[in-house]
Amino acid sequence: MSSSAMTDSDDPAALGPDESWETIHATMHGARSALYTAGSTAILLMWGGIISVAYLAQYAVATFAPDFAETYPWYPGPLWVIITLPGVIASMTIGYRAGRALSPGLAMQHAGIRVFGYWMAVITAAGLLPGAAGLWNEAGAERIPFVLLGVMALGYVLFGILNRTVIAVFGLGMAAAFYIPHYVFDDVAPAVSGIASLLLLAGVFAWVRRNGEW
Amino acid sequence: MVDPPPTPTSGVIDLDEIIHQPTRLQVMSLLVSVQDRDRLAYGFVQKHLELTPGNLTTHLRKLEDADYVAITKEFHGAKPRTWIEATAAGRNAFTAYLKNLERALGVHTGR
Repeated sequence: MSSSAMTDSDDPAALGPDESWETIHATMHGARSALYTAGSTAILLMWGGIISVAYLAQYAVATFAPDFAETYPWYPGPLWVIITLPGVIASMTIGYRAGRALSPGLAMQHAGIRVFGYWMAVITAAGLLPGAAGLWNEAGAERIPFVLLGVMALGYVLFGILNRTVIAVFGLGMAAAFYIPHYVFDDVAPAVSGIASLLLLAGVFAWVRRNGEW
Repeated sequence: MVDPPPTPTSGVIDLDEIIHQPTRLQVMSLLVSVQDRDRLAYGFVQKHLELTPGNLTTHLRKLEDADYVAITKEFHGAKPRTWIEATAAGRNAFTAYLKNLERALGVHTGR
């Protein structure tokens, strides 16, 4: 093995010890984050679209089928499940395929298991917290989406802070697109939320494109 | 990021000059950050480290000549894929490099 004396290296490109140390840690941290966020651009864009469709569908039912909405006031629940369930499956598929394209071995498997575990924990918390808050009843049912969406948005923000900023921004945008229209626009809030989610989708696309973070 | 320990005021530490080059240090850090015998896609390494294909290939050749990395090419259907992995010798060399770096930084790991 060839070697050089670091303190008197004549290589102009040589690193100092501090720089070497930082380079190693930054690269390793970046590698882990890259494995955790494999396919996340496509997944974020897809979810922006799915959420928009769900809001607009909810608004469409309330507007064009008011009798149905009155007879089944809990219709948004099943509607959202039907629309978002394919998204959950698609997210797993996209993440798996993107991960395999980066690294086919154990590192990716472990990263995939961790990411899957993280989101399952978030989804479980989003489902359980309304129960813990005593909302799983007729009187509290209306408030369930507020808790559920808050927990999901928090999930995005935490994951994004740790791994990729645009994911955290998406979480904040998702929360804003839900809460602000609800308190400002009353009956047309779902339609406004749907449009706001489309704007969020466009914003994520522009962010990724500008930063080249595909 | 982990804060580096304080730099010693004296002493000359030998570092493997194959690894002790900014780009190759990044490549090796990336490759050893995954498990033993795990491979990373050439495209991922290139994109993640923001290197041109020519630049990455040049540095990989040096690492390959030193038997620190192994490069394999496969076809997935009609699509060619190039994989890079750190060899056992490469991982050992990186470990030795880290130990020497820790000495240079005055780290007392107790090992």
